[in-house]
Amino acid sequence: MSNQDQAIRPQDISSDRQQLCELKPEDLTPLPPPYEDFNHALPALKEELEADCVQLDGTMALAIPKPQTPEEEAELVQKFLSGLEKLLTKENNWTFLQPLKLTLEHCAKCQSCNDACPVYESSGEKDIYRPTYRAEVLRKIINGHIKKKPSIFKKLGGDDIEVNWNLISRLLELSYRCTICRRCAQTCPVGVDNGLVTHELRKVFSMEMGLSAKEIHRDGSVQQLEVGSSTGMNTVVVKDNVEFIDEEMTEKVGFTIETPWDKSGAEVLIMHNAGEFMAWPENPGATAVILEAAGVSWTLSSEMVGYDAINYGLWYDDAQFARVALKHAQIAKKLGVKKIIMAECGHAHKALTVIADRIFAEELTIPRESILTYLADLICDQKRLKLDPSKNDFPVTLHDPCNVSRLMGIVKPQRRIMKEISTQFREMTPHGVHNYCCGGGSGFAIMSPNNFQDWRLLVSGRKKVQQILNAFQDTELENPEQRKYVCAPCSNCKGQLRDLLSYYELTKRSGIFYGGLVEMIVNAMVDIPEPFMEWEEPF
Amino acid sequence: MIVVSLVVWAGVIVFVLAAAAKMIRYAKMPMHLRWELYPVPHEAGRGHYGGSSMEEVDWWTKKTEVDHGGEAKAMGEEIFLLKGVYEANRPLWLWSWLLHGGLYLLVATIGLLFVGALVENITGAALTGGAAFWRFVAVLTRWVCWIGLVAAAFGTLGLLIMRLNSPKLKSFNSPFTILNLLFMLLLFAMGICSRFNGDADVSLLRATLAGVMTFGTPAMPLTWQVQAELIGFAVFATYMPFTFMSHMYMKFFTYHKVRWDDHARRPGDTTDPRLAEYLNWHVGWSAPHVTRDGQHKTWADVVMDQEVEK
Repeated sequence: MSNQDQAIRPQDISSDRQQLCELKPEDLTPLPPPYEDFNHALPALKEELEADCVQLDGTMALAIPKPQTPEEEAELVQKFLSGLEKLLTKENNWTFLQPLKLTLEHCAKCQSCNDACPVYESSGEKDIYRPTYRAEVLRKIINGHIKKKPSIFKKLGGDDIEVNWNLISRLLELSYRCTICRRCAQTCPVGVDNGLVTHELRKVFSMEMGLSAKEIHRDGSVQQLEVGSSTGMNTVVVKDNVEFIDEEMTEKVGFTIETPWDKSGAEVLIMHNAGEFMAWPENPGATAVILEAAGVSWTLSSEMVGYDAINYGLWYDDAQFARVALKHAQIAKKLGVKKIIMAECGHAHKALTVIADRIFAEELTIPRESILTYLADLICDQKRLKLDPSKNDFPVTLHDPCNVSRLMGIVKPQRRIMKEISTQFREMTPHGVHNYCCGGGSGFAIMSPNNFQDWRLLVSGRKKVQQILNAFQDTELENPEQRKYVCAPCSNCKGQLRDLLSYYELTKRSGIFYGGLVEMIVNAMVDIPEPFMEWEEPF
Repeated sequence: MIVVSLVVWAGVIVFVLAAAAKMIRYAKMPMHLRWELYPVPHEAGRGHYGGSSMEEVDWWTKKTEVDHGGEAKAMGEEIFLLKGVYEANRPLWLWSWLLHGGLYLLVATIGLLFVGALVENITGAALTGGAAFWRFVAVLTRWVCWIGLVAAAFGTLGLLIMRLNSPKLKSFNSPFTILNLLFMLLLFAMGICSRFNGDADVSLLRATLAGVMTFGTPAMPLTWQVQAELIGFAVFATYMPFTFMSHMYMKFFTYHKVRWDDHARRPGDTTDPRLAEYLNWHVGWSAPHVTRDGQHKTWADVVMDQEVEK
């Protein structure tokens, strides 16, 4: 029996209970010493939120207010059901119809996927976080309210679920309790994909009802299309920032770094997550240093959207996804570069390289490649840089971003590079395509409304903290003076790691720092006399 | 006997038509976006650790090598050993493996019975009195059937007990979940009952099937157990394609058309004509940002949208 008092059935999602599931500190999975005390409770929600919304689990990512009248509720239900109908039509959902229907029609409910989910495990096995839970709710709604079946079959199939405000608001929240890491899909013996169910639910809410996390829609993809970047930076600001980064780099490495903008016919167009220019400027800086030192013909684009690789539509909205992907391809084509290199941003990797692959017209099919693959070739095969691994003589472990490893199959290049630049590398367990999500995937890393940040650190990121601590078990874990490094070649993962390290006091207590891969490469460059990496405590 | 023949033929026809219709329906669905999941076992030299051709610089300029052996091995492990369940859900594995293994043997039994019945119809003599090869087929059929029935019955019973008792499984049960298992248990029990009641070597079942094939009278006296067994299996064959149990053959799609579908377009590849068709489809989503309040009609309009959200 799981740690909870009473099992929560899929039908319970419509219930009038004020809160469907309670997260108790003692239910959370234990952390190894010296972190046993990190079993906090979620901070309480504001009173007005509690009064205005039906709760799922004590946190709120979207917090949609309750309808005020039965008519309003009926209208909402109607809209939701209409969205589900559209989800099942080829005209509205040709993008994912086949995998979705396969998932809806063939789940054996064997629950083999449950233990693969870090959220379910870390929460102390709360039923609502099972990968099968939201999928089964969706299946019941479709079988009970969309498909035309005699009511006896609906009863026998257990599809007599009530669709009301409670269900819709909780299902909306529940679609933001899964990072779409697809570990569950990897373990399913039938090939069912419950991660896809999260994706498709978010689509119904966004594309039909206009409901989505503001951080990924309004402040994310909308702002990117409107201003040029989800960071709010326009072309002038981003150029200013990069100029400043170039100056810093020049000073640090001892040779001139001048980022080329809009260089027509360059060999490669580098696409960074624009968040890097603001939060981790050393990352695009280090990338520039490597490319210059290796003699690569490269460029950045200053065109709107072209200097920001993000594509948040990947997580919630096909229209927004396609709009951004199209812009990226058009910009690269216009510049006439030979290929696009996706810098250290996992979801951007997958969005443009894999998911967008079948939406480009012939004239827009431009080669896209991971920076990990590209750098492994420059460093390990072409030996274009002189590197000394002893310059990185500290314990280091590698976080595999889900989008790069499990969802693209890029596993070895980063390890080949690591071999050239590090003396104390150790793997996390498990790693590669079986890795665990950082807990910030599918937009969580940039979402912090209400007490949601506490949830993503306490619950969805907990497994990653355990993995990191386990990877450094052979080091002086209680000695903060001994520096240890978590290498995470992904912007969103770094955002989540920054918050995890700070929340669990991993830097303060154990000397654990985080950062990208290119910084380590530059730190190992023989021709750079001073250490490149700065060991700053996350705040 | 005519009733048995009609029911069995109806069962076979409905099964074939329903299974084919479902597979055709899925095959005709639109080309979805890439959604593969690694490891993809046909990635030559990389499948074992989950790598892909995207690990290679300028991968689009290189020939894609496909490891058919690796894919066959992964399929074999999944189909015959239920590797996924073994690794992710050990308590369920033994029962699930017994049920699935038993079903495979029963499918093999049907094949062997079909061949045997055909031979009996052609020669007009019982298989057990024929040439050495056909006597071997008869013995093989007998043991494959016995092992299949017993394994499937134990597997189903184990799954039923787990479904009713495991807290993880219980809360997802519907009446159909239990009825499906009870139905299968009844089928396998009926089969075992038939074997214990004068048809231990399945020669009566074969003879009855030979009669069913020609709408004729079997060469041996019929028992009600064998008739019930055949009718039961025919009803199951009619029902199965309409349930999740069709995953037995639909896994072709979940694996080969989604999870392992890593086909990548290369620069210079012509656009799939299907894409042009999809982009002209009418978009019905209602959120204002999708169609700009109805201004955009097709996917092409939506995607080419460069408007700024108000």
